[in-house]
Amino acid sequence: MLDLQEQYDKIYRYCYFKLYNQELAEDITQETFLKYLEHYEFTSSETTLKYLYTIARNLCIDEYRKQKPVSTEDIAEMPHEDNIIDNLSIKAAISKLSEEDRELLLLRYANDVGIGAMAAIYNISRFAVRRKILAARKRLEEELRKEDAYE
Amino acid sequence: MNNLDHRIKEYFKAPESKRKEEFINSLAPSEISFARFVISQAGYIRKLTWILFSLVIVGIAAVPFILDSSVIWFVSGLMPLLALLMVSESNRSIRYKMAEIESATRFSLRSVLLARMVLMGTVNLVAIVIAIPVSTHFGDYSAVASGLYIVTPFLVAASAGLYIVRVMKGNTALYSVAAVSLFISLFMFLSRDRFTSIFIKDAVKYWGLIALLALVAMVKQTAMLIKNTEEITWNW
Repeated sequence: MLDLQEQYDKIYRYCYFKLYNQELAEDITQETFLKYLEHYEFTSSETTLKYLYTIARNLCIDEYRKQKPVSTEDIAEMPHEDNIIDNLSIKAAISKLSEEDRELLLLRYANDVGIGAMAAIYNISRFAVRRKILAARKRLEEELRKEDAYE
Repeated sequence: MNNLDHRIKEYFKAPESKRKEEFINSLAPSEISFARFVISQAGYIRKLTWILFSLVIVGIAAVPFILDSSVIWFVSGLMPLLALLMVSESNRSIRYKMAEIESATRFSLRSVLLARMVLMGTVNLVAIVIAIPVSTHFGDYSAVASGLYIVTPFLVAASAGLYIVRVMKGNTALYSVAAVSLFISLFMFLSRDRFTSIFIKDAVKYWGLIALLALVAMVKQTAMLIKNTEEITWNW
């Protein structure tokens, strides 16, 4: 059974890195859970994750359309926990990736979402998920090589 | 985890949530027993459905005082109509997603649908419990035979109806369920004079077999319908 507190943190993280706004991320995270709990109890694993991320994504898209687009430079400049990260190259490299690549990396490496759950979220096969993650990671490595070359 | 995985994870650290605890504490539900929850669903079932249920049950109890014979055929002919009411009300909850609007927000559509079917099933059971002794007393058949002649049309109509609403959509499903129920009702009303051979003593065991198969089918269809409600709700 998923832990509500843990999933709250993960959905909040997901929303934050979609909208780059802490208040909005909190609002949408809470709305996500309220919408989910309207229909379901907090039980099964992959299905719960699928619904939570799908709701969160749709709400973020709706909110994103109301805002002005966030540019690559804005993303690189966004404040977050860089008192721990003092490696500016990773920030710059990730900011140059596409929205889809950033989402894949966040789900897989930051939120520890399993391949099966990601396949359910994206409605694609596990093989396709693995392929996409590997491709995103490869693009990140290329960007990092470019960034490190400039440093 | 290798170095790059670690760096990615470190990058995706968001500022700490300020409102998490408050929100999660606000979600803590108050306790409610299943029985109370089932009873609470009574208000969400249409008044017309309750009126029709009541009319059928009153009809069952009153028929011996209206007809001097043919009591059991009339009563067993009414039973598919009870099944029709139950199936159509369940279908309404799914079709129009009424449960998600009407119920308290913390209950799933699945729980609500199950509770409503338990409630209506209980009402049907009351009808059956009234019908069997009435038909036995005012008829020419044993309690077992009377019970089977009453329960079997109900179970067949209910299992067929639940299957139909599971595989068909929209008004087509509802009309089909109504057609099946009315066909079974009509069959029972007319069977006394037209198909007398199926009511001989030796045929009772076949009625029992049909009732058992229909019961299994009804339980299976109910389980599948409730399981399917999860997919019906989320059409992204």
